[in-house]
Amino acid sequence: MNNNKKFLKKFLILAFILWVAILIRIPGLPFMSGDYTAFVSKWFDTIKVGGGFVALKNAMGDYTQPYLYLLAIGTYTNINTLFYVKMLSFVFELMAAFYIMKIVNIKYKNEKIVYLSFGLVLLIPTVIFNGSVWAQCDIIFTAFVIGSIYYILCEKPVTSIIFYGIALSFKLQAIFLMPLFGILLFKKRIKIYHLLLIPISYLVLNIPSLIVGKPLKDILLTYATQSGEYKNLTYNAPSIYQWVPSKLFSDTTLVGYMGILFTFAVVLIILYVSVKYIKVIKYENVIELALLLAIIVPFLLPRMHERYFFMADIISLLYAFCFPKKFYIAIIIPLVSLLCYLPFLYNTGTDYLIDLSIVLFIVIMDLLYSFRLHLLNLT
Amino acid sequence: MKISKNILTSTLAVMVTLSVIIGTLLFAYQYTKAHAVNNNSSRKGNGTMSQHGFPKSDGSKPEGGSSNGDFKKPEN
Repeated sequence: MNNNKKFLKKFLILAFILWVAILIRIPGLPFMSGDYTAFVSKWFDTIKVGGGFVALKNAMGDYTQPYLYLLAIGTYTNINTLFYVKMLSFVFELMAAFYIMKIVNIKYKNEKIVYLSFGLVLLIPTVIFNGSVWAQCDIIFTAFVIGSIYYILCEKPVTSIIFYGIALSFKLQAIFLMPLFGILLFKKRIKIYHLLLIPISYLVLNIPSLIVGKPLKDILLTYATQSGEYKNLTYNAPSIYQWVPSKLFSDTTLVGYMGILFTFAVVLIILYVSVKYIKVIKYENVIELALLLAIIVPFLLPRMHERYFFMADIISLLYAFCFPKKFYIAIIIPLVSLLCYLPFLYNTGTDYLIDLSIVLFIVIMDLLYSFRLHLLNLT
Repeated sequence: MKISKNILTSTLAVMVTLSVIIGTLLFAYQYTKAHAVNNNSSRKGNGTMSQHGFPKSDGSKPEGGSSNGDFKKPEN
C-alpha cells in the first residue's frame, strides 16, 4: 500500500471515530448543569462584559487562570456559551485519546488495537458525561497527565515534566500522580532539576494574568484557597469516607487530618516498595503505578468529589491494554464513577454510594494484589 | 497520471469527510442552542455523611458569590 492510501485509510478511520464521538455527545449538549448555570456561564459573561482578557485581573471564581484564558478566548466570538464550554472539553478529549493511542502503540505496534484505544477513550461514559453533559473540564488536566505519561515512556523527561506542570496548572487533582515522579526520580529516570519545571510551567502559564493586573498573591494562593473551601469528608465520591458514620465523627476536620496522614503513609509505602523492588522501571510499571495512585489517593483523601476519579477512569483503559486479562478494571472503575455522577446531575438518591465505595475497595485490593505479583515477577 | 488520480481521489475523500464532520458540528451547535435545558442539578447529600457547611440539599441550584463575578464554584 502506498503512502497516499495509508494516509487515507488512517484519516478515514480516525474521522469515522471522531464523527461517532460527536454524534453520541449531541443529546447531552443542551443539558445545563447546576455548575454551568451558576458558575461557568457567569464567569464567561463576566469576562465578556469586562472586555475579554483584561477582565481576568478581577477576582473570579476559584478556578486557575489557564482555564479562564480558554473561556476568555470564546468571549471574542458570538458563539453559544454552552456549546463553546462543552466543545473545549471535547478538544481535550481528543488530545487524551491521541496520547492514549500513542501509548498503546508503544506496546502493540498494531493499527487495529491503536484505533480501538482511540475510540474507547472517547466512549468512556464518564468522559462523555464529564464534558458534554456536565460541562466540566477535568479532561484538560487529564489530557496533559496522559501526555506526561507518554513522554516518560518515550524517555523525554523534560517534555513529560512540562506537561505535568501544565496539568497541575489547570487542576490540583493532577497531584495524585506526583509520587510517580518521586519513584522515577529515585530510579534515575528523571533528574531532580527537572522537577523545577513544574513551578516554572505554573508561573509561565499565569504570566498573561499577571500582565493584565492579577495580583501574584491571588495566583499563588489559588490552590490554598480551594483546599479551605470544603468541610465535608466526601462529596459523592466513592471513597473510604462513605463508611464513616457522621454521628460518630462530628469533627470532620480531625477525621480529615487523620485521612490525609493515612493517605500520606500509604503513598510512602507504595513509593518505598516500588523503589526497593522495581529494578528498572518499565512500561508496565509506569502504567500500573499511575493507576494505583490515581485511584488510591482520591479513595483515601478526605473532601473528594465524585469527579476526582476521572483520571483513574482513563488510566484504567491504559491498564486494561497493558494487562489484557484485567480488562474488567476498565469497566468497573468508570462505571463506579459514572454512577457517582447521578446524584448531582439527576438528583438521584445517594444511598448506593456506600456500595460503590466497597466495590472500589475490592478493585483496589485486586490492583494491589496484582502489583505485588508483578513486583515479585510471579506473573 | 495514476499518481495524480490517487491524489485527486484522496483529496475528494478528505473533503467529503471533513464536510460531514463540520456538518455534524453545525447540527450539534443548532441543537444545543434550540434545546438548551436548565437542569436543577445540585449536591443532594451523601448517604450517611454529614452535610453541614454545604449550602444546597434541597434540589435547588448552587449559587455564586457576588455581583462582581467572584463566583466560587463548589466543584474543583
